[in-house]
Amino acid sequence: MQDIRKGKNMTKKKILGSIGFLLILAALLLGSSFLLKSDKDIDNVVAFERKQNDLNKEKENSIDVVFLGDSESYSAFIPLKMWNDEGFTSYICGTSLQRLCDSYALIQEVYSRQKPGVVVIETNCLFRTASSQKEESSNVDRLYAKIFPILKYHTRWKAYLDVEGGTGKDHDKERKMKGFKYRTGIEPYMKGPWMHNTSESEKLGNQVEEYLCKIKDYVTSKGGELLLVSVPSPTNWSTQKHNATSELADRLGLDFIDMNHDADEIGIDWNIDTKDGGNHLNFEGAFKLTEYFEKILVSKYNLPNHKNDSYYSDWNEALKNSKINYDKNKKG
Amino acid sequence: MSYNFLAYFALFLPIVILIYQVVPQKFRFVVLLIADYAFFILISRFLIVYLLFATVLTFLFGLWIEKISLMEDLSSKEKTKKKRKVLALGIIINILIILVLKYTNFFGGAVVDFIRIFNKNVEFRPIRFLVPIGISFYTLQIISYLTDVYRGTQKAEHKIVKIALYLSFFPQIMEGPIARYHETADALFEGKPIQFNNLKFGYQRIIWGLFKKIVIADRIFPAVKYIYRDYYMLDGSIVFFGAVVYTCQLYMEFSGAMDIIMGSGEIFGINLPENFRQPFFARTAGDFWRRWHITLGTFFKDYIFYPVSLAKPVKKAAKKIKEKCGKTVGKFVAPTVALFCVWVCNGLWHGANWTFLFYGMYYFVIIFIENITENPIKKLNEKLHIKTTNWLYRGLRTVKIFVIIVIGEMFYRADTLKQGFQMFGRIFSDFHITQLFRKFGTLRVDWLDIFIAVLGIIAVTVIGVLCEKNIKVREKIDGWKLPLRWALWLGLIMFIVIFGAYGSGYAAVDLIYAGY
Repeated sequence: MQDIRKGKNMTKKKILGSIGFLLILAALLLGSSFLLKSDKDIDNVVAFERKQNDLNKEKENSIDVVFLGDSESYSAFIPLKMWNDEGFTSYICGTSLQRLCDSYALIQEVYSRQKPGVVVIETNCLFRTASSQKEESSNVDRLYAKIFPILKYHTRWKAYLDVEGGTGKDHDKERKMKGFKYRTGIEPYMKGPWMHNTSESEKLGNQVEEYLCKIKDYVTSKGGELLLVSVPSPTNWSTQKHNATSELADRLGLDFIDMNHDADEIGIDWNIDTKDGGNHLNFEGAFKLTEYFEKILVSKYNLPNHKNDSYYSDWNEALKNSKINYDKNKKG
Repeated sequence: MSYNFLAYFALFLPIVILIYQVVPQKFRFVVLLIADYAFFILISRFLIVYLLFATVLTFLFGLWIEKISLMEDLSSKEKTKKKRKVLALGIIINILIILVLKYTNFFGGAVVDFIRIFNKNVEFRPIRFLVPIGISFYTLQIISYLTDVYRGTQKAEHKIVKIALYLSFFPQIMEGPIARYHETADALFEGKPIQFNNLKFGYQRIIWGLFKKIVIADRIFPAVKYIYRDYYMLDGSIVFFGAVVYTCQLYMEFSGAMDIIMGSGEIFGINLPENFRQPFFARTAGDFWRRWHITLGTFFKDYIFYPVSLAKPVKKAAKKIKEKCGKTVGKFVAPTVALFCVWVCNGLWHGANWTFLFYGMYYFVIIFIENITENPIKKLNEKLHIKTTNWLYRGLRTVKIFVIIVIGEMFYRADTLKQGFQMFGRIFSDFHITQLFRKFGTLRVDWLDIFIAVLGIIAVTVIGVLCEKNIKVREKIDGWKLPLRWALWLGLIMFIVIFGAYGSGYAAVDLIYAGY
């Protein structure tokens, strides 16, 4: 009888102990969630916070044009060249595999200290899910992440420790080039034309229209203009995507420039201007594209020329320190 | 669904545990079987028909072999002959299924490449087969069961549900380990209640497995992916670093998954056989393979190595060579032929690619050389009075084995044999260690990732050292005072939650061995 009572007491002790352990664990998860969670819907928290840190190093109200999007954006547009040639300032807020939720969060960060007249979105990101919900995450993952936001925001520890807003020489160079990623590797694209005639449309990513509306309304409310742009990319782009983006732009009343049709006019040589077989432009390709696109921006939006404005002297410093000759028709 | 997903260890597993525990003992096997099939269907859906077919086939063939054994009108020799035919048929059917599903394109391509040598214009269009999860693992379990029934070391099972449980046990189905029938079948069917200690130790092992997979393996994956994709542009030192990091990733991931699997089995009182025993403490390549993927190695030993080395044709050939070339050479013939068969099977089992076959042959050659040089080296050490237990000798031996392992894994991971050789060539033709330090920031991992990964590797190494000394770590920790115990386990869980490479900013990393 005593043994049975002892046994029951032991079981009771084990159950209470287990419950106690789980309660402490829940408290730790909730506590760390409180410390690390963000009120923004962000997919890549680390990339967002790095970009935020980088932006905060720019002088207030000194950026005329902001670029959003994924790696296509930071491979194609060279802010220092646009400064060199036309005297307007720009910043690349593109991040790897950027979703529109991050674009939306970033543009709000931008407008907290800057007043860009033009916001450019590279359209490759319109074909992935716009929200931060991972396609591979299950309802269980989402439910647990809702109860314990630490499961979603745990990577913010990196941003807290990342004092300089990025690690390694590569990120430092990227920041000095105003978000442009300088890459010189060459892997030719050899598969010929990629924009074939068709009336089909590719399916846009989930919630893309919803987030693009949000971005458009926000930019407009801040006095800016939103422009959709597609950079030449044989392996990423197609007529189907062009059609889908055109239809979307029409519905939302947005301008859309598809430079995939203009690759020849731009002078892109797919034997030497791509770093990875037509996926991204390398520096040579970006140089040509920027030279083409900056004229469009200037004529379309009447962008100012700050070359003689001492407030922008740091841009001349950045240009000098980059040790790259950005003059037209002179590369290297 | 995967073992490292929340949906598995924080929903599926607790629900199964709860239902299993509250249901009367005589129905617990039903709960387990439903959980097994539900798990399978969640991943492979209608492809469960393959598993069900394999289950019925195994059950019937086992009974058939037993029936022949009980035939009184047959002589012992006749019985053996008949049983062997049934066994062969059972094995061939299962092997054929896996050959068609997984190797059609490989062999088709190989035949076409061979014909093209003769300037014939032939085409082969690859066929896309849907392959059920775990087919490579449960097929080996079927072969082991039927062979043991044939040998008389295992009684044929008369309850099909026990065969079903044995082949489909959900923690085991995706990545093994490859258990023998007597190791798990009875325990799976018995339905003993879950003991508190099993539940506790089981979940502790799961947590340890998650630490290895999510904190270490998945964190260094981006560097591996980048280096293997762009190896042709990278310095040899970076290529070698990539091979080292991949070896680390593979071990952390596979052994981590094993910890989750073993922990899951432990909860239900099922003692699955261990698959890892501190493999990087190995002294030779042969020793490495007795510590790495142990159940695969023992399967090949019991069902290929011994049967082949004892086969009449092989023994006959060995005798002839012994007569011609002497005892010293003759004694190696049978084991070498058997070893060759083992490594061909080992290579091909891993996948339908020349890289896997090369991987198998790589270890065949190395282990063969180890076997033939074992005695001469021993004699040389004795002659030169070299102490094999001293730290320098052991250190050099560890470095040698580590390099052998890393080179092997480099070919294993390469997409093609050509890539493997190119990477190998770069290590020697274009090696500048300074490049590794200069380009470190470009390898898709930053210093914070490396710091966390190194911390993790140190922790795993410390535990490995303790395990090598036969210290039962979980039991030792269980003897600590409660606040310290709880602080450790809560700390480890929070470390995984915060420093795990999952979610925002990370791409999901599939379990490598779940593809086999």
